Amino acid sequence: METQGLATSSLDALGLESRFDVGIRLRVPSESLGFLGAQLDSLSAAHPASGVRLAGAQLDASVHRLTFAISLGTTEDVACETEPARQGVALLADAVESLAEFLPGLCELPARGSDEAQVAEALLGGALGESGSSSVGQTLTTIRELVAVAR
Amino acid sequence: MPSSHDDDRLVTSSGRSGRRLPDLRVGDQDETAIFALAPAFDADRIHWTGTPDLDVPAMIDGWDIDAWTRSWGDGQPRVWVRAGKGDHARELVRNWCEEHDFEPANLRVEKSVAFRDLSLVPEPTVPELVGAAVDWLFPRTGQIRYRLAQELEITDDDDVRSLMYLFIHDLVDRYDDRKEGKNGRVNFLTFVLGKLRNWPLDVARAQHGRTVAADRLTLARINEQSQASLGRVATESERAEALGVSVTELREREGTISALAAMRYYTPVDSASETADRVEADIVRDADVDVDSAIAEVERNASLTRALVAAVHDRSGTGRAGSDPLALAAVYLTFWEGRSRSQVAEDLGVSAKVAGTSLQRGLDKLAVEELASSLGTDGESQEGETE
Repeated sequence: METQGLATSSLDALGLESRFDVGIRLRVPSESLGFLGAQLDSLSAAHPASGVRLAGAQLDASVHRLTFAISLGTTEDVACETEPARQGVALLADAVESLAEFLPGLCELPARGSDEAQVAEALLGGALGESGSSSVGQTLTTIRELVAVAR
Repeated sequence: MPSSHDDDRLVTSSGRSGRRLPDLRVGDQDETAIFALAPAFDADRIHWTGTPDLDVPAMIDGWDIDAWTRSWGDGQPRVWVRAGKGDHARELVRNWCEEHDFEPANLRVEKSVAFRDLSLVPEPTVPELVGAAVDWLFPRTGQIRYRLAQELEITDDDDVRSLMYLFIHDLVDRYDDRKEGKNGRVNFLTFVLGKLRNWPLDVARAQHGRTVAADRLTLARINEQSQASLGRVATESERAEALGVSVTELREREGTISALAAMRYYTPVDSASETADRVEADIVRDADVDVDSAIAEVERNASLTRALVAAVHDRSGTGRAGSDPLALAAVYLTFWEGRSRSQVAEDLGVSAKVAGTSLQRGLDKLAVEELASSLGTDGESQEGETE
């Protein structure tokens, strides 16, 4: 079984906090990237503190498959159902609703080093912090760049 | 033995890079020469179930139309006639069975399917061709074998190779080498690989039948009723009573349901990992095989995702009733990442009991109708073959 893409990172082995991310994949036609950007803009305004990052991207000629990792906080946040975890669930719920036309579906996070993860990293251009998590706003910037590339 | 094209690169129909699978060889003959000995043609296929050992060859000997027959790996007979003769042949089968006091169950015709008469190929070429296919595919389909032997526990590791041989043997006379994809002829390995992706599910359905779907719905309903009337999920004994089975059998059935559900999400449809599944996905897209079912899978996944998110997030609720991240995490880890209950507990740093109740809470909240729809258990027959 592939293990590198698991939702929980292995940082706890080093005594650091372990984060819990949920993968969600969208199928986005090239011509809809602009609409996706607008929707992410709204999500960004509604959830300024929630963590989300572009975890994988498969850029095909017509339909891009974009995988986002939505953070529910640390595993302790999830286990104790603290506010960051609840905010993550709320972001996921809003994302599923507002991005419905892109058939958002939960998915396993792409393994580190996989093609789609590398494409995502390249798109993000090293903008992420060490935690590997970015704000909706940062991801929005990336999507805007994608839109520019698509044009 | 495959020919020496193993590393051929190509661009798939979805614009991604992939590899061309090799043509097979038996001795000094490549597969194109072998299949040319028994050219594919359009046929109608008649099949049925439920009859005891019948002398089907004797039956078709008396017909006034060309017909071929053999049993597939499931032990059931099939009869092929030239395209357009299927309805007539079905009546001939029905009449013959009546004359012999047999009731042909689910007698049906699959029209315009590819067929080739393998008796035209000298022995032992076909078995050797199938053996070459198994030799190439077996080491490259680890996840498929894992599903069969470990996840579904349908067979022992030692028997998977034999099962694969029988499965591929059933495909030889169905392979249509007249089909062309973006990258030219769809060769035999490409065709087989497309079929192999659904093999574990087909085997599971054949073994467990539709009872799994029915069990799942019954269990969901009894839990829903118990939650509504008693404020808790149904106990094991109540669930066992609802199914009319012992608690031991209930556990076995619930294990099967969990395994089937987990298998469905074991490998994401759009996975692009560096594994053999990546190759399979590319090939399937390239061969235009099962594209519709892949899209349907994406839609089902989206549907189930909506249902799950709705179950764990109620905008009007407060506390756990409003948002249940632990249930979401437990369901996600179990069904989308294939983690066992103990692994879920370890991942989340909770006890196995908490992991189990969180998972159950998430599943209990899922709407029965949504589950049924998402899992394709809305009553349609699963016995029909698809080409």
